Amino acid sequence: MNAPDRYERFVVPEGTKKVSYERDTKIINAASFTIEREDHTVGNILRMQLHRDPNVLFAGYKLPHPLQYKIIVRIHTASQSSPMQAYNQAINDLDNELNHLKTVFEEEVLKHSRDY
Amino acid sequence: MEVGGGASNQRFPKIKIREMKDEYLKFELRETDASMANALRRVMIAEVPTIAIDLVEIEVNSSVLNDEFISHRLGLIPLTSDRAMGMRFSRDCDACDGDGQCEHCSVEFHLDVRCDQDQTLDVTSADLISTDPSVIPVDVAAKSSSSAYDASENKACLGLRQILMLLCLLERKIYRRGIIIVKLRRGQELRLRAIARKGIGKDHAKWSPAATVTFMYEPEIRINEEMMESLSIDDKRSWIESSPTKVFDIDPNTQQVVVVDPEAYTYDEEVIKKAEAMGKPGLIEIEAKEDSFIFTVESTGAVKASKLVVNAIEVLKQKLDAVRLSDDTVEADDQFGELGVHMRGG
Amino acid sequence: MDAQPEPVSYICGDCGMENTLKSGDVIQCRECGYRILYKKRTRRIVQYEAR
Repeated sequence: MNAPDRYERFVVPEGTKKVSYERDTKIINAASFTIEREDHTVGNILRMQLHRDPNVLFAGYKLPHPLQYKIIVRIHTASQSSPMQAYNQAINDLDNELNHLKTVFEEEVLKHSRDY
Repeated sequence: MEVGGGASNQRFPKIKIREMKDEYLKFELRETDASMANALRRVMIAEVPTIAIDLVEIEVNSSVLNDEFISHRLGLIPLTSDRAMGMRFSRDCDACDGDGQCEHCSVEFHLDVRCDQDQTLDVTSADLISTDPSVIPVDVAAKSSSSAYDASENKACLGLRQILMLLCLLERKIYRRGIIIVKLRRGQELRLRAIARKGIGKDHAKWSPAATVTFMYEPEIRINEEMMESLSIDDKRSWIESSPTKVFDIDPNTQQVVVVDPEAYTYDEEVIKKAEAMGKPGLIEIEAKEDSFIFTVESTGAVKASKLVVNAIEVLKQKLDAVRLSDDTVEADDQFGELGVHMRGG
Repeated sequence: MDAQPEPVSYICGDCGMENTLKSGDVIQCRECGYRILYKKRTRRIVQYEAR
């Protein structure tokens, strides 16, 4: 009766931004990014990639409520970098890793179908 | 905005395919994180798009199943979805007049069956007539492509050939009739028009292209050979038997315990418990390699298994691209932040 | 509005014959006299979501 519609899980409504962020007023170089209509698929992979960045002091994500389809990613960085920079860098790295994965996989498929 | 400090922390994963069939794929993924493996698994199950029947208009239905029952069953029929990645979602399509039924974003199906004989008539997925030959029920597509394999049986010798052909015919009669939608008696009729659209598993499970997708950590098994030597052959056997799956065996030549199938290990710790019970803790060490995964992908047939993985990588990339910080997001915030006030001389 | 421009046909529960009835008619099958008649399925095309 109160369950939201299924498409709410991935359709961003008109007027809502997909990604927005708020700087932390009390801590410098800290920000919380709110990503609408995403779940653990993106949250976890982003968080683990942020952990690999030496400039990132803290990186975590949470789903505030299982029926609210958004994630909040919190990033604290050292003074050399800013959370937005770390965020974008993490996404770029993941993008490149996926490109590499795709190339490697397609090569393997070609090799495998040739050999058999 | 500062530029620079862009040191890459990218990983370079490796893949090795173990087994590949049309609907089944087993491969190893190495040198990447568990979050990537899990993300791929989640995307394969819930976010790779497929095409499935979404809207059903029933004209006549005098069968024993009611309208919505039949509509539900029609939705669950897997359709060949090679077109899906390039298609638009119905809700995003601007070509149609708003009802989401134009040729760019949907495929139309017709079904018109009436039973006129005394025998029960099975209405199957083979009776669904598509307006686009590239989008048809998966079992119908498989039926037409496998009639090629009859010819290869001619190589066998005479008696064997008859048997093989009989088996093939039987298989066709029993297994390849098509997915049964409803059964009709004499006089019963079913006539409908169905629209198939692109969708993802997250919306409804009928759009999931994956039957099962699993991954396991590759185990690393180290046997303490000295301690193993101190066991009698019976002890060794009973220790091997304590594992619910066959991971170890005794080499017939050397009478040593060897690992025969490390991947049969299901991370139950029965062998470790048994070793402790026998008074030999540390007999064996089993660790899961943190960055080595063995994926098993089974597809419903809507998309080929290997294509499913490629599509999943593509969809994951699209999701990450959608989540990037655009310049206007950053500017909008900078205006209100302290730095922004500073920059404006406030 | 006038009472049903086209006569509505009902199916007899016993023999299955189609009987056309107007408003005010006795509810009885013309062939076998059975008094339970069923309405036919609507001519409109009904739409369902395949979910």
